[in-house]
Amino acid sequence: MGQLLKFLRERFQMETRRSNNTSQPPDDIDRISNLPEELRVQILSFLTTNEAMTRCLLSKTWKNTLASVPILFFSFGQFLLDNHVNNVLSGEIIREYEDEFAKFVKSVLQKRKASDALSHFVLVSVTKNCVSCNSEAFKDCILHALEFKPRFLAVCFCKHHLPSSYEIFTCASLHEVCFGSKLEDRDIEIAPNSVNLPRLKRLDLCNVTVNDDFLDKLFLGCPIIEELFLDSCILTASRISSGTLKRLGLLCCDFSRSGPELLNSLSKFTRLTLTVPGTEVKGLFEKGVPHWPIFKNLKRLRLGGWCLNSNFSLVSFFLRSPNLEQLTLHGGQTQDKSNWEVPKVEMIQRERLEKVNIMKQGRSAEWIDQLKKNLYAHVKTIGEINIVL
Amino acid sequence: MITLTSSDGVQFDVREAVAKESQIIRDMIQDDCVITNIPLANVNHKILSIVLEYCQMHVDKTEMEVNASKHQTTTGEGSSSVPVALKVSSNKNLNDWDKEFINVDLDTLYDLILAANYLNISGLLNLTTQAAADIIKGKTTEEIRATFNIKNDFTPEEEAAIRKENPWAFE
Repeated sequence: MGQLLKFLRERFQMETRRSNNTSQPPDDIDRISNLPEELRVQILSFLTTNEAMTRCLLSKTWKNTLASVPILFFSFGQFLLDNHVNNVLSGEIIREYEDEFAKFVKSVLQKRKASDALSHFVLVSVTKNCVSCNSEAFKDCILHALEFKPRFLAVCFCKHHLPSSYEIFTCASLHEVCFGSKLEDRDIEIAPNSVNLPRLKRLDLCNVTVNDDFLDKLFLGCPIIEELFLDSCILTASRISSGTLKRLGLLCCDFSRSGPELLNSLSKFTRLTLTVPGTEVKGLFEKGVPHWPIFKNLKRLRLGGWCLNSNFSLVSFFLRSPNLEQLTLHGGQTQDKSNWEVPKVEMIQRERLEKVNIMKQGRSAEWIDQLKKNLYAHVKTIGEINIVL
Repeated sequence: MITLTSSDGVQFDVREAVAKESQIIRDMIQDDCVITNIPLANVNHKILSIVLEYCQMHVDKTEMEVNASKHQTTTGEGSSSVPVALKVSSNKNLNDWDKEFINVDLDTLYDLILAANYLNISGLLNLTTQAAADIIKGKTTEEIRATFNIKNDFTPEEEAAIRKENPWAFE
């Protein structure tokens, strides 16, 4: 769940820890309450809403600030933790907590004035051991949040919630949506009755099944969508084709049920992200590179997973991309320790790549060296190589 | 070189790239390229020197990366392993450096938040507000009040009413 994960990590899980010597106030002045409101809001935005709300007790200033924070982040898992629930719960008890959680979400939303802008709304209503699901309460929360016209919305739910969350697909204020379920539920087809998102620029889908009907509705109902990321989805669609889409990401998706035309439709994109786990190399990529279409428009390519091991050659991939400028390689997500082999297709030397980024992700220095050697064997000049940890 | 003058009149000569880490200075320089002396009315010399230390470090790191990655080799053999190692370590060090950098007393932290906001240095603003949030995280209401000297201005009745609204939150 790319975007949501990134969002969560940035906002809530950074590991900056301070040593204890900083907690002594030098005098009696309450400077934090005297900071401009927008800065206090920014500080509070780094807390989950569960935790932030307990801060209304601090003083009136804080209570007022909290009533209007523009970022709301609700996590059922965090809610359980805050209530010291760590054990696996039975269905009945979990249901009680879910009701409490829904009440909490609603009470926070009810305290807002209609004029308080809400920029981000994040609702993660599933946990690992979540079994029971109160979809009515969940739907109420979503509907209530949509009234505040959020620009960014992320929801993570279990399969019972799926139909109740389709209202999201007709919310005119949304610029970015991240929509996901649990990995076990990924065979559920996403099927809203209609899609009308006139402002939507980016959509992330995670752990759902994506069919042609949905994609047709999506591209029809999102006139300015530019980015689509499918993370761990099952693709049954035969094509991904849109006049406005500039970036497409397919991360660890299952292509075994998608038609052969899909690859042709991918060749139209200018920016492509592709990671394929080693165990799921079937369908789309079986045919091998010589049969691939030419990726004529492709300017920027990100690859990871199986794309980087010896069975599939990264080099082959960009031989089919004559206009490629920037290549980003993710070292993680593949267990295959084998070195790269020389691809078994016709060798063409590329003149130049502008930029190569290598995400090291735990790979060894030897791996990096091998990778670079391989790159230089096929590209005469590379503008710059960045190694990122 | 650009000269930045703090609110208490201390002058700092810095490279243009370092000063431009601040969006507000970047805008000023772009509007009028002959400006070389910029007075900063809201930042004293103590805080400005810390802010500039941050900017300097982040500019240096970026430049080091660009230099390390400028290979125009046609053979692909050798030559590249040293700069790569250098750059990988510089990336790792910068995060560590940020963590160490932001380990300051609360008063300085407030000043840095205000300065980062005024100068519009988004990296520093995120770093400092995140640090403030980290201090709040996991503490009880009483602990936070004590840490930040926040006066409880609720009457007991008001406080009880808030607790009643969200009973689960204050157990």
